[in-house]
Amino acid sequence: MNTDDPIHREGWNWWNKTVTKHPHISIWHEVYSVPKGRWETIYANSHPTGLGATSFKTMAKGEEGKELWTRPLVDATRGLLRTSKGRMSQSNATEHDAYSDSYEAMDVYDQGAS
Amino acid sequence: MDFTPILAPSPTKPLSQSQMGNRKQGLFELLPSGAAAVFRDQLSLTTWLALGAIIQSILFAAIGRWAFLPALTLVAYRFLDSYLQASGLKRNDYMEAVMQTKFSAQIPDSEGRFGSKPADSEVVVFLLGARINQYNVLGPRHTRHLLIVETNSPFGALAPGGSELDGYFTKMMSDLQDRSEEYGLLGSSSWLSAGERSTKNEIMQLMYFRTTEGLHQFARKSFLLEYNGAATKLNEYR
Repeated sequence: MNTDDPIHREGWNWWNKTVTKHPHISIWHEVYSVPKGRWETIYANSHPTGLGATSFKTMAKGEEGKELWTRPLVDATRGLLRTSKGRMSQSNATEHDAYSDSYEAMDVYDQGAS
Repeated sequence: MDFTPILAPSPTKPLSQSQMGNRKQGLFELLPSGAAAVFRDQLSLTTWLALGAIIQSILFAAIGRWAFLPALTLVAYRFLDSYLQASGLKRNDYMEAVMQTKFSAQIPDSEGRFGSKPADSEVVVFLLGARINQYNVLGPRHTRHLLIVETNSPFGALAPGGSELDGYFTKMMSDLQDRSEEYGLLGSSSWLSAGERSTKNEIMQLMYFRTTEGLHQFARKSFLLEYNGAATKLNEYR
């Protein structure tokens, strides 16, 4: 972050003072910036959690101004999303075909759940 | 073939996992569920039981054998409720929002389409943790800070005290919600470490951002908010 920015510099000064004043409180952060194609997510019999519990403001096509919130959850019982390598574009997701997968696609969408 | 969404888009923004913790859940609950989790972790199980025993003894000394009733009623209610849910006679609260299938999270485009290429956007994961380490300064005020951090705000354990605290955290939280798109904040959840030590465990906020630029913008604004403490300065900045 740019520490030449006076407002931000002031913020840092306050921060340093506060940390000294409350030495019994630990605080930390970690940031992971993950490029496209370098992450994958899978959930089985789960509620929306983690990245799956996020939401994205989207616009319905042809309906300008009508905002909708889209959940990122998609069916992973078929196609590329079945396997970890498939979800990272490193295979065509057939490596587990020898084993049976008992999950059934469930069209939650059609039931109007949200 | 494009990936198939399993949830219909919603006209209103769904609550984040962090926001769910701001709700009281269930009969006889005294605190919102997020605050309750942190509060419960401030004392050990034996301390809570001993405190209950002391209260029960005082009640018994005051009103005699009727002192048995409140605790008995609560346990009977909870037992019956669990039994009805386990036996299928009542809707199982623990299954709420569970989808019994296998699914993945993929990032939609601006029109809500998923395309057919997995993981086709960058994603930024931000973990923010805090822990209180000392007994003799752990007054109610510090506990309150921690509760506020846990339930309302991803930042702020170190905020200076004072009456502006509530206003500040409310401002902070509404800023986060109002400007989530500006920051590219996609969602957040609150976590309590599972027993690294017996009490006063670490708390953590897990957040997802679209880009590091958005995260830095949020961090910068949070600094300003914390530094200024009051809403007036925030308005000047805006």
